Amino acid sequence: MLYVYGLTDSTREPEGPGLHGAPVCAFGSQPPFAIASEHRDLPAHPDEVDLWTHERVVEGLMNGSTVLPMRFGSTVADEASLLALLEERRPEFLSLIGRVRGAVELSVRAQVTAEREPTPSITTGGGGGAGGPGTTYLLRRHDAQQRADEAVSRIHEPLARLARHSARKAGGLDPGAFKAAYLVDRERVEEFRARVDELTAEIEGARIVCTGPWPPYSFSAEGRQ
Amino acid sequence: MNGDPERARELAALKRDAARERSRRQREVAAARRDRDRESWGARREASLERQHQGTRRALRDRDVSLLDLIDRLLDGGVVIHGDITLAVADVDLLYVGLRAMVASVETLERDLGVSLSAQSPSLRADAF
Repeated sequence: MLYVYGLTDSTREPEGPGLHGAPVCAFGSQPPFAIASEHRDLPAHPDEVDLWTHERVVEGLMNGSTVLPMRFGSTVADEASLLALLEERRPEFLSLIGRVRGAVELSVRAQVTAEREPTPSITTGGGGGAGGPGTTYLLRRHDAQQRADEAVSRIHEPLARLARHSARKAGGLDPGAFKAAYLVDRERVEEFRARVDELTAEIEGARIVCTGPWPPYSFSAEGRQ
Repeated sequence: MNGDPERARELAALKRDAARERSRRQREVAAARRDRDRESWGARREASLERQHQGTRRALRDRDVSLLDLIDRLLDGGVVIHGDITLAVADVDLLYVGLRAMVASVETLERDLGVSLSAQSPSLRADAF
């Protein structure tokens, strides 16, 4: 079988081996080309090293080519099915490659404080007086959510303006948790990082972590923004 | 060929031993290579993160955050090809299980950072009521 690392617009192959030391080659006769390695079998329990190997191969393609990374674990039966796949989805792949050309992905995780002081202005009128503990909880939570949303917008909006595209990701149940990916032109990466530092200083109680540049994993599917 | 059955058995045993020895040696070579990859890649990654994040305000362990981001991206992002994926869904689940032990240490950090998918999220704690 062939393990596929990514699709590119050039036949340039990465230096260094792929998964489990297998040689990595380019397949196809016109763009997009697929970068893959041949394996008799792959372990059912991949480990961290395998993840980093996949990542290293894709990163090795990033300088000089435009690459669409594949999801980890993407395999096809043989060269014929790989070529058929490239042929079948050529327009989609070419349009996605065009969308990410010249840009890299930066990841941002942030935690903003959403402390929950009681809000004395809100009480339930009439009847039995103040609301029960359930109501109080919900109101407090609503309040915290609003404050967190505001703080998160103060982070996300200026960063999104520096990016070509952005994708906010589910941050879990904590209203103050924020996670997003930004597709940023290569020449604006430093500017983006500097902005992250400024925001960390400006927004009280915010912790912001930026990693990358990553291959455009979060921008490799149509409809995903 | 179809002569002495004892000789045939001996030959078969010899072949089996040779095959075992061969595969043992292959495993050793593969293990050494993986160790080497792990070291050199790990070191390069650390060095590159070091460079990337110089001068920024960070109290977090870069490597752990990078690993979280890596897992997020490789398992949830990227081009998805349908039909021909031979890594069964069950295997992907197993991969998650396998990664969980590794990620467990990272989850503490994730909670600090508030990326928070766990039940320890403050909003779920009973005393929030």
